[in-house]
Amino acid sequence: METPDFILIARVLADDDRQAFAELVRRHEVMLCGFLTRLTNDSFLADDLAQETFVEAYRNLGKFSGKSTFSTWLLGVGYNLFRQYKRRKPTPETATDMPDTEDEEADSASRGTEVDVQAAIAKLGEDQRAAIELCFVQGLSHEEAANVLHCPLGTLKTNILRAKEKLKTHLAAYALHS
Amino acid sequence: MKEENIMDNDDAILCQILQKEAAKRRARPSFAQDVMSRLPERKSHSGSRRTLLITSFALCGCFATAAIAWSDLTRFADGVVPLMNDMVAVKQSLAGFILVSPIAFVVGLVSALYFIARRARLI
Repeated sequence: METPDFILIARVLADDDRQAFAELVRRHEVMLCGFLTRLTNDSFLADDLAQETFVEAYRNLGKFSGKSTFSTWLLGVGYNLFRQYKRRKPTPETATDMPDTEDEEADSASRGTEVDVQAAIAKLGEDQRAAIELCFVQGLSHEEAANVLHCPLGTLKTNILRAKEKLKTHLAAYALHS
Repeated sequence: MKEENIMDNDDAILCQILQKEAAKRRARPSFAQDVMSRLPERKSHSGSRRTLLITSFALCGCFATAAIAWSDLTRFADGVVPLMNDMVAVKQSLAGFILVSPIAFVVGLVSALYFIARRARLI
């Protein structure tokens, strides 16, 4: 049976058990990298930010109160680091890992719905992408997602609504092309 | 996606597509190793406890010394503080400390306990 996260956290805090922390990293890396890849649209940058997130989490593990799950707390730490990164290096949003618009329009028929959806999501704004990822992929409730993104619940719901409207528009365009 | 978030069929389809894509995400084999190599050294707990004890003793010592000096000053009208190697004076000072400055003693004790509790994450 898998050891619960809170026991691993207690081991890290009590005995500085690095094996326990490595286990936490292994458990949550896919989830965190996925979230950060969605935000950055750059898997290399996401990988680096995810590593930084785990280091930051290790430093501040004592501050984890247990009010949320460890994964939710980790997503919050990751999102904060992403925002810090954006402040340091404000770059226009690019979809480096996603297909180019022209390519995707030309080849949409062969790529299928999943690729279309990915490309459509890549076109969304940063807040909307984060909201969609947290609620639809990570399975967080609206309240939890709002806590992670440090925004009011109403703002989060608006972001999700607008994201869905945009997705519908984009996907309708893909359907016409294919 | 939690039940409360599901609004309509489109949401469910979108959710399904995204989760299908998320299921394809794979861990990078050396990711955990890379993270572990970047972790900073954590201060050992035995070291922390030692620091804590030293801090507490130092704090108590400071208050005790201050209390002794104060009681001596009040005891001797001429204001001459006796040397600490004078055992009689020390005894008198200790008695004076216990009798004359219970407030200083309590403050020192409470401060030390507060530091211990803070470091032990009890408060």
